[in-house]
Amino acid sequence: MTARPFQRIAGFGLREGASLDSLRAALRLADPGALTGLATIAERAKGLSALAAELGLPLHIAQVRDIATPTQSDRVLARFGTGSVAEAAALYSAGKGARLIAKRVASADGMATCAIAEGEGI
Amino acid sequence: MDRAWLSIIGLGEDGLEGLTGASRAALDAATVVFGGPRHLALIAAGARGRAWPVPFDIAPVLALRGQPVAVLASGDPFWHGAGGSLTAALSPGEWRAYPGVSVFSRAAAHLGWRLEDVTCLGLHAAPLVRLLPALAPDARAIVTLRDGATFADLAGWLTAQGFGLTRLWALEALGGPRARIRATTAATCDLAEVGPLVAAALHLPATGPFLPRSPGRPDAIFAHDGQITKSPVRAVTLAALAPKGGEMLWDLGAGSGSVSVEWCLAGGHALAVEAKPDRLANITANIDRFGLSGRMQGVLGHLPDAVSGLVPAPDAVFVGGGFSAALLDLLLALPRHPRLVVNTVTLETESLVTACHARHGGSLTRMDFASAQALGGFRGWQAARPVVQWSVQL
Repeated sequence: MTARPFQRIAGFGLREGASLDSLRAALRLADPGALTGLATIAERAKGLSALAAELGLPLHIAQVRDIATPTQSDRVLARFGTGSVAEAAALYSAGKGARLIAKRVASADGMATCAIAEGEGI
Repeated sequence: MDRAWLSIIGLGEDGLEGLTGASRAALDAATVVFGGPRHLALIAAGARGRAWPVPFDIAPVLALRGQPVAVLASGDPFWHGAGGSLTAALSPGEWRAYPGVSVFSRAAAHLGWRLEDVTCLGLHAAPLVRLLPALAPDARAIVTLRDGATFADLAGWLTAQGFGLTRLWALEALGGPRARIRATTAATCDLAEVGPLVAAALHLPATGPFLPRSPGRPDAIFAHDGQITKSPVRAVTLAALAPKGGEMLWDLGAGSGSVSVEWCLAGGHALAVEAKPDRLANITANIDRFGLSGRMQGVLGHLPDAVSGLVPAPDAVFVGGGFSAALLDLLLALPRHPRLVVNTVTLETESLVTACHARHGGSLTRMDFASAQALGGFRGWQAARPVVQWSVQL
């Protein structure tokens, strides 16, 4: 086995039609540092692909259901089975030993949310 | 010199009464006691008690390094408990452990089952589908559950999978004054008011729609859009990939992710890279269907660019579509050279892998599968497209 890799993932929640500017704004607010990848759920992957391409980072598709998050939105919980898609996606894709570095922050227009997690990879 | 500052104590439903003298002494000596709210209540921790943060994080314990601290965990702290998470961050000698009796041991003791013949799983924080690999004819399993409502979910899930004849036991609050054990059958389960602290024991029927345990599983059990490595080719592909357990696979041009699924079912981890978002939806569906969340993940991206910067680095790489000289260069530039298996059905890629084989070695195999089909009133061979496979240790 190799030494444990290091992952620093920006997880995103986004509404349909979220602009690249909104995504950039959410990421900036989360103060990301040196990332190794972006993450969101399959339904929103298309909307995040332009930012991933711009940053030259892999776009991970996270399974967020049942992932415990500090942020708890009842609306999000009912629809996606987790309290915050951004936090859950970051935690999932950071993998083993994942911990949240930055809790969910939202772009000013409310179209995009972002959270940062670190871990040892899937 | 005794450097042990952390006592990791296994607690039963019988609270303080059930602790051994050594566990009790360690608990008394602690100035701070970490545990779940239920654990802290069981021992009346009072002002010494500190509940775990959500999501679970051991940082508050490590912050007290050097002080006499106790951590409470259910039963055996090193069986699905906090023990392993804590000691991963400690040096030998920093902790002392006082294991209690695990819920699995208590359940097996009640049922009279040999624990070595029983699959034991922690499903208190994992989806029920994690049970899938344990479903086998006449097999037995003991699982922890999230809460009482999950017991009915388990019965419903087993029934939906075609295992309604599974015998089920609800084992509540084992080892304590409120212990209760009830038996039922998955299809007819109507147990009322199952308490929150519950484990389930299962005895599966001798017949039913069990899944095969070897690669080359039927295409029909995967979510796919027709772009799937077909069962016999998949079996040969997994044999060439040769999963050793715990290894990382990059599945490039993953399609439905079926190769990743079978790699992970053999004990590995996988990143399934696919350029089409609707295929990623199939990959996501298959991760859920086979209970592989946390081990397998989809990645959206076009080859070859998608692999630059991708981590963790692979032990093996499968290219089911989208192989190119540029992709090979990126794989050759990885710090640790992986095993590579490339499947191709096009003449263009075939000529590329033929040249690569001449230069880099490995084995080149052509698979011509044909199956008997109706031909008028007779039968004839229906040939599938030949698949050329290049397999090499880079």
